[in-house]
Amino acid sequence: MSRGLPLSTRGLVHLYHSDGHDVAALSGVDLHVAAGELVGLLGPSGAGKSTLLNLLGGLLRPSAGRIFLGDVELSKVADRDVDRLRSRTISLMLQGAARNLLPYFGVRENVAYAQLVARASGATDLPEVAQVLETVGMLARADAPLGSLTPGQLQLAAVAAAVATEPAVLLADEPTSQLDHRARDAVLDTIARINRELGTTVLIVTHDPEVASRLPRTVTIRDGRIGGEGRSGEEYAVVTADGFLPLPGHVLDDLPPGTLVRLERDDEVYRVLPVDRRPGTAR
Amino acid sequence: MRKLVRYRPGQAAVIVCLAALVTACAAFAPLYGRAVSEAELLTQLHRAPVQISGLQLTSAGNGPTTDALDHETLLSLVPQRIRAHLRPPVPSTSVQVTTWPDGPASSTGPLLWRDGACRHLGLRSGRCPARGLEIAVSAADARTYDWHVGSRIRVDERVLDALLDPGARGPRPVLHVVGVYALHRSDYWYGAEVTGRSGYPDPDTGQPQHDDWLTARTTLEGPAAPRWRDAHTELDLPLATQTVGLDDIARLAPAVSRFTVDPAHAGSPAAAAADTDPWPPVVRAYSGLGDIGAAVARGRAQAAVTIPLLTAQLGLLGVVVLWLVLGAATEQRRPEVAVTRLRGGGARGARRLLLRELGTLALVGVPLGAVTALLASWVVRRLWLPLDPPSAVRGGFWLAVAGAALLLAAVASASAQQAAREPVVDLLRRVPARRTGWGLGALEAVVVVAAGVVVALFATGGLSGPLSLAAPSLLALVVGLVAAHALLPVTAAAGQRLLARGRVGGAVSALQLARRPATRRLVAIVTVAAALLVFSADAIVVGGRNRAYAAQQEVGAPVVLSTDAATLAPLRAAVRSADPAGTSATPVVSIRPPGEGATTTEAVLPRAFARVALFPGQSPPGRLWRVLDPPDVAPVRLVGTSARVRLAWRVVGSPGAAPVGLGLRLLGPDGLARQVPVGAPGRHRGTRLARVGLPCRSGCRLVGLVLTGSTGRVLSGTVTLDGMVTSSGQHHLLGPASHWGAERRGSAGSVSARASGENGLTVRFRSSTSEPLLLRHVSIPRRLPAVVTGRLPPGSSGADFDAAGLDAVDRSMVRVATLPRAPGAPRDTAVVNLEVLARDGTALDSAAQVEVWLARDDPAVLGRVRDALRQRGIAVTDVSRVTAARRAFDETAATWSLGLAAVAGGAALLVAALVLLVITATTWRLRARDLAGLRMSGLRPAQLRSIAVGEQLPVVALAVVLGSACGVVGAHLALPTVPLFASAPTVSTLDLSTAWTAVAVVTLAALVVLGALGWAAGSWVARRATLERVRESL
Repeated sequence: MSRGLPLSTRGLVHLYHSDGHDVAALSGVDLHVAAGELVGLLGPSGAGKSTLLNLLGGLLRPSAGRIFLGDVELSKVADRDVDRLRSRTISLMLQGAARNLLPYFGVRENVAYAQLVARASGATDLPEVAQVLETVGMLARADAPLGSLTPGQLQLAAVAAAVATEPAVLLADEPTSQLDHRARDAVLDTIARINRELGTTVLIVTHDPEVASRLPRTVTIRDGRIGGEGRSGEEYAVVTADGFLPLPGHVLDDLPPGTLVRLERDDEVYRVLPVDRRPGTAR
Repeated sequence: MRKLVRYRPGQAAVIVCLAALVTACAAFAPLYGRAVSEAELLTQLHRAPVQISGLQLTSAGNGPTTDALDHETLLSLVPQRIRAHLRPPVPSTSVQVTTWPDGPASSTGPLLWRDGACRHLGLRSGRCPARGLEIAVSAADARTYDWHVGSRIRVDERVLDALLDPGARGPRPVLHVVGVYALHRSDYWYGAEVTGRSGYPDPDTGQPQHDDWLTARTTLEGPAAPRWRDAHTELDLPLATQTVGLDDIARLAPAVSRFTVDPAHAGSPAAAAADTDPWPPVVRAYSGLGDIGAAVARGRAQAAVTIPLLTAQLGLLGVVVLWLVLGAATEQRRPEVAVTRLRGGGARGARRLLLRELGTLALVGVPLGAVTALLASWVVRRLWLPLDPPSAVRGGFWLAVAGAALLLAAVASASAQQAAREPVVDLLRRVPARRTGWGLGALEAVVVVAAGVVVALFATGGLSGPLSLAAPSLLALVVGLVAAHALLPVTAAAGQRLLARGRVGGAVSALQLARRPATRRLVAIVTVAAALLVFSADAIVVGGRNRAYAAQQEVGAPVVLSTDAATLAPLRAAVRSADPAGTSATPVVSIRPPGEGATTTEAVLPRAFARVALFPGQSPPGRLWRVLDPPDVAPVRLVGTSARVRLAWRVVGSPGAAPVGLGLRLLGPDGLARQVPVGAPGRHRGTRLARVGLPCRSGCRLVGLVLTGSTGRVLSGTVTLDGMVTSSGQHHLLGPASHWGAERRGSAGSVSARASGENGLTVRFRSSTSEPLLLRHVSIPRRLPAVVTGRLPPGSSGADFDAAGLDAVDRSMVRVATLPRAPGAPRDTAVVNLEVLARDGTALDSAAQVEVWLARDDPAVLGRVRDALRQRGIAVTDVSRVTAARRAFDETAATWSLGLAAVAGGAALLVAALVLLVITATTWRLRARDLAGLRMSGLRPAQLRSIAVGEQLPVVALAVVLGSACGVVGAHLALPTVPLFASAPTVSTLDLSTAWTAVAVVTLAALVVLGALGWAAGSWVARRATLERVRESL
């Protein structure tokens, strides 16, 4: 299997229907993740992280915008081809390890089952099950029933099933939630190792600042948009494709929506100068 | 697969069991239907005497030139396909002989050779005939005619062939009595009445009869035999019952029927030869096999309707339950389906995942179901059906198994389809979207509408036929589905209201109930199961009741003794002596005139009859019988050997007329009427003292005065009788005049009475013929009061009609009351007072059925009555019992088929219980988690149990009640089309009213069983609602 593929979105919009109204879960997300990159998706609850992950995983179709997986425009691929892509190229880990595993199988069989589905889609060059288990450090517990595993082991088992076909892209929704520190570190280490050794592009949704701090790049989603980006601990604002610049939360405290500002450039420095505050919008 | 099963073993077992149940229902129907038909055939053959089930061929000569066919030729007439099922024939030859010289003392009867007869009789003396002209006579003949070993009897042949000259001289051989036999009755004799006629008059000639004389073959056949002119040959061919199966009888019975119509032209070589003969010998064939075959075919047709429909309902319930269980199982596997979809398996992969588990489990049930059906068939053949009918696994069985397998595969595939196609995001929801509205799914809507339309058609009479057996299930399906959908919004609203009132327990129960899809399934299935259970119970009880009624109606009383009584007095005396209180036994005389629709007269002693007879489905009030009481006028009783009476007359007659004759009509102690002449009053006017001889030493009753005129001469006038004194010294009052009435006014003349002084009676008359004019004492009513059932006979006027008296001659009767049915009598019957009917002293007709009815089947009473009858020279010729008649009604395909309803009902209850368990097994984790959450919020374990139980128990109770109501209504629609009898009884006692007790019992049983199970399941779930459950993820 080829290694990681780049993943990108352009003007991604997703609406859902609730109580008779259309609600925008995502409203113009432009995101680019390079091949083999490890990226964390951050943001408050309801910001649209999981929706974005589901769109990237092909579980949902966007209301507007485009999604690219390498050269393939995922948002235009037929359902059957999306299934085929999911069987080999994109792997999605849902929040809660058990939701990723067949409960009546052991770890080995879950990995084998994932490969079985991939083979049914035409895959031939799949790794040995034992090799996959070794990669995630679960070879010793390969035949244990799921009910006998610790939460950390269960999450590793879910990771094993997710990477059983050595996918190009791994999308993981809160893979470390409800885990203690040791288990969390083990899972993160495993995912990082997979990213490093297999070159898999990894996108992790997390709430955990400690997890975020361990990721080389983070993207913050806020109100359905890219709200910022962090690289090696530094937080940045991101100018969107249509020229908007979502301000980080702490800046918004000073510059509430509706504030009139003047931008000034001084060599390499841009200054934002508030000119006036409209009545009723300022604190 | 092993791991799959081990992960949810209970659920796997339930799916396998349900699949096995569906297969068993499908496969059992043909097996049971076959077994029932085989049992019907065996019962018919077992009940039928050998001469009915077998074939008998007889041949006689035809005129002076044609002799009867010999036995070999007779046998050759029988087609081989029929002979294959018959045992070796028993040939016999007979002639009718009369002892010679002919005269009042001579007897007549058959002289018979029957092959092997000596092995089937016991010799009281002498030996069996071995040579020509030797005979053995019956022990009864030996007594009656004083014949003994050594007797020599000259006989003359009695010719029956109308073409032969009866006066022509035939052989008159002398026969030698070499033995006296006693018959060993057995099938060998083929039902022939070899004995039992000794001394009785021949119905044709009135000559005394003798029993069959058994002789050697050489007496009747061969060169040394006398030249008999009218010998008959006979072949008795018993049925080889062990070679006749259900398929054989279907071919054999019609073949035999065709053969018996015209045996001489059945196509055999012998028959072809006979065709060329201008005077072919007479050949006749007798067999009841055609009727047996028709009865079996009728039973088979009934079984083919009832059994599949009953099993289909149960099978349908099984399919519905399986569908719902698979639906629940699929729902439980949504996360697993989601995993497959996440892995890129797509809808096809998801379906494959589900089918690999659920489809395999369903198909595993198929062989189990087939084996179960075979075992069940074996059990019912051994333990339920009589005579151990043979088993036969035919194509129908395999077809049913294959059909069940296909059906199960289709159900499994359909249930997997829905989940497999669901969007992955929806599959990832922990709990499916809640349904609180009234909306029906497309499939459910189709089912409700289709079933509703069918039920409506049944109810309005637009649809009839055996399919109406499905009415209870269809009705319950409609009601169950609609109720299930109505329940959700109702319970949701109720939950909100209870919550607002602060009743947390009830509120949570109601809200939980509203949000669980399992609720809908439970309501629908329990409703259908309860309906099937109640319908089955009702059908079984109604069927049993109707068979009991039919048996009671047919026999009339618990035990009925048929007698050979020729007169009533000794019979009544015997009954009185055996049962002085008249509570246990009563005489009943029935006179059934020939002809369709003729009114039968059933003469009874009303009060005793009301106590002893059975009135199925009706309870005539005690006062009804008072209308049959004798007239309130004491009869004139005379005692003595003679009487003296003063006569005064005034008679005017045309010239040449003979004097008018006057007579007394007396009824003796033997119940017979006699007429004694008083003498002829003279012409004109005069008086005299008349002396009359009376046959009344023991007393008799004066029932009438008879006046006789002359043919063609008119006589009129009055005769006064006064001062009657009998030799016993009694003075008798003949008045008042109102105690006397003319029997009938007509062209013969008229007669009437008026008072004459204090003691006398004046008879006014006018006569123009010699036909007697009867002035009847009103202790004998002119028109006999009768309680009538059915229609009055043709020619009746208003309430007046004519029906047979004891002598089978019509009597005037009047309808004074009606009954729906008369016990033991045909539809059109007049029930009259035996005592009143007998007052006219007519003799009993020989065709009258004289019976003694017993109130209970008690051997002591039966023995007493039998002894009393025997002491008076009356023999009991037959004993009929209601229990035996009931058994005959019970042992039919119709009854056995309907009996399957018990299995269907029981299985329905089991299925409902199983569903309750399955629903608990598939939802307990979710429910326990919810309850654990409530526990965290401070509810006590007892409250949790109450909530868990309250979530299920009311639903179960409601569904049981709804289902019971559907069962009752469904039974009302379906039962009229259910065959309860092999053949409808001649007098219908049909009562299809609901068996409320049975309905109440099974409803209660269902409530108890399912309620207890619901309570136990709720408690069990509540016990598992531990706090740790909140964190559970697997």
